[in-house]
Amino acid sequence: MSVLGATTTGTRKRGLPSRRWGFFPTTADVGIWATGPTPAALFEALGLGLFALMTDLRKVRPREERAVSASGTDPSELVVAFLSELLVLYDSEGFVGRAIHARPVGNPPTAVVASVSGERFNAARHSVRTEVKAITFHDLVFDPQRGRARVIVDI
Amino acid sequence: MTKIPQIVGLDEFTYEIPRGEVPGMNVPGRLFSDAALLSGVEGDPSLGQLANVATLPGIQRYALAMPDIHFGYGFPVGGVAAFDLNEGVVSPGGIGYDINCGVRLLRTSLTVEEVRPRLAALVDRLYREVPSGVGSHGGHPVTARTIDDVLVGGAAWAVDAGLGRKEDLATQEEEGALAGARPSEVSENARRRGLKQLGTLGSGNHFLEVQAVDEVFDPAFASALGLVPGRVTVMLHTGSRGLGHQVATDFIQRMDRHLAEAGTPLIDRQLSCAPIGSDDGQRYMGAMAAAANFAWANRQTITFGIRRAFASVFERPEEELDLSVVYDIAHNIAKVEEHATDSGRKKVLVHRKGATRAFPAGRDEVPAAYRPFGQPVLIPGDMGTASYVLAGLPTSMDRAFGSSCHGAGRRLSRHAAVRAFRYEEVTRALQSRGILVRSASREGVTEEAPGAYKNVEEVVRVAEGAGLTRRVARLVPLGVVKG
Repeated sequence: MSVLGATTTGTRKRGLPSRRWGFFPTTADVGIWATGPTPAALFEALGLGLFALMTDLRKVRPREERAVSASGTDPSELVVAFLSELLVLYDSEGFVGRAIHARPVGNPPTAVVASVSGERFNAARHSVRTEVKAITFHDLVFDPQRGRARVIVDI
Repeated sequence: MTKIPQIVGLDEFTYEIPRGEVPGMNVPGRLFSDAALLSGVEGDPSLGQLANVATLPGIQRYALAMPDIHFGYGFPVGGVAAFDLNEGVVSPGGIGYDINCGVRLLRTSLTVEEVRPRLAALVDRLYREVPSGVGSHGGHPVTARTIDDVLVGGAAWAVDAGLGRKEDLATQEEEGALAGARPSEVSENARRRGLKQLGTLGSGNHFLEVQAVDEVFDPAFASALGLVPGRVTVMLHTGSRGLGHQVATDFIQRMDRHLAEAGTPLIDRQLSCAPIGSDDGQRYMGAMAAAANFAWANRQTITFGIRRAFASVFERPEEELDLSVVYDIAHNIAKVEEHATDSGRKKVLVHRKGATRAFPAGRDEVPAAYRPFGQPVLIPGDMGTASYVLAGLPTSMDRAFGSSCHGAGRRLSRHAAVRAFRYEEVTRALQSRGILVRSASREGVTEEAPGAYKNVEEVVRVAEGAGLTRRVARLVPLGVVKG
């Protein structure tokens, strides 16, 4: 699996990494790592990493927008709930996102609202990678202090 | 990091993780394996996961693992655990994200010689009839209004909808529908994920395989199953798709939140659980049954596609080609069953995650036509080797709550498999042995390369040596559709 990184410009806090994401191997499946200077950037990077597991994001165009929201009693639960909402977008209407704007609520965050720009999957133009069954709590890290997060998915 | 526990050999095929290896174990862990298979799981977190399962409240006798054990979330894959109905828990992680992932076997009247010349056309046609791969859509969409009927009716819903034959139901575990389904407990998100996925295969290790009966070990039972050497069969491996995955996600979260609120967090959040009789427990049981029924409806709907593909390629009515359901088995499910425990015979909730029920001859749960022989157990191997039909043995009841293995079990992680194998080499090696592969993605083939799996022959040998199941027939692959 290729390790694609995506960097965006934006406010960067001193000492914290910019918004990037990639994959790491795990015992059974695959993990998504993310870095970012803010909780919002971490949610965005994890979400883009998730879509990149399903298809090559470079071929996805930002033609439509979808709004998603999620809540959780702690950050790990929120990460699982947020990424699961993105899976619902994909399974219900084949929607894949290539840009995400996330707005976490609370500190530490207990909710997140996001808009996702992308388009419906089209087998003629989009590559097929891996179907993701679920987002797990296994070894989940969400650490805005150090600007990093990681989550393992069941495929 | 989960500690890797010590294991003690009890006999050639039985190993134990003594109580105390992990703090809080209520019972020992027990693993059916042998020296060769064991060397493959040493250092693997799955043994620690087995010990973790033994810490759950109300667990009976031992936390069990089948010879195909490998890493899962919470419970290991290949895990079996039974819980007291009053003191015990139900854990979505003991069933798995893919609720009622399972295997269905169809037989045909066709011989290998008849199929071989049209194999490429058949595999292509199956690939078109049964959507597979990422987010596969467009099988047999259901509406928001009719989905409740699917969630209650299971395979029978599909038969009533014209997607099967009445007689298909008799030879399925639970006749293709688990009682107690509560569609109202299936969330809006779960429904949205499932609406367009009925009749689709998905990706990962799911597949549809055209096979030949290679060898028969129990001629009488094989004959009752309609399995004749040289005849062609079709094996299907899939589950409840996004609907079931979301039910598991929803309840793992809900139970985790309630455990945290009660101040009793677990050794691993993926073991999230609730007392069986509690509101959460009962709601999950109802939702799980609904998702299980979605899976049976899914496998029944795919059966419709398979029959259409065969009728079209062989230009004969499907009934002439037989295409009967030999059996359909669930390998990710929990069910209330009566078993011997340390406090006598009683009803318990048996979780099977990557494990199959393997009841012996004479049991009411076994279809009448197969009752003199035992329950059929369907074991898919990797796509280059073989699959097996086994039969439950009487000793499986006492040793493993009437359970056996569910497949070869992964040996390499997906990542390691992608690094170890090249798509061209895998497909060429299979083709040189006459096996055609059609897949929606190249990674789908390399991740599932034969070398990524444990040796199915070894797994089946251990299951037989341990007294769980005996061999009935061996099936070899001819053509494979992968997600």
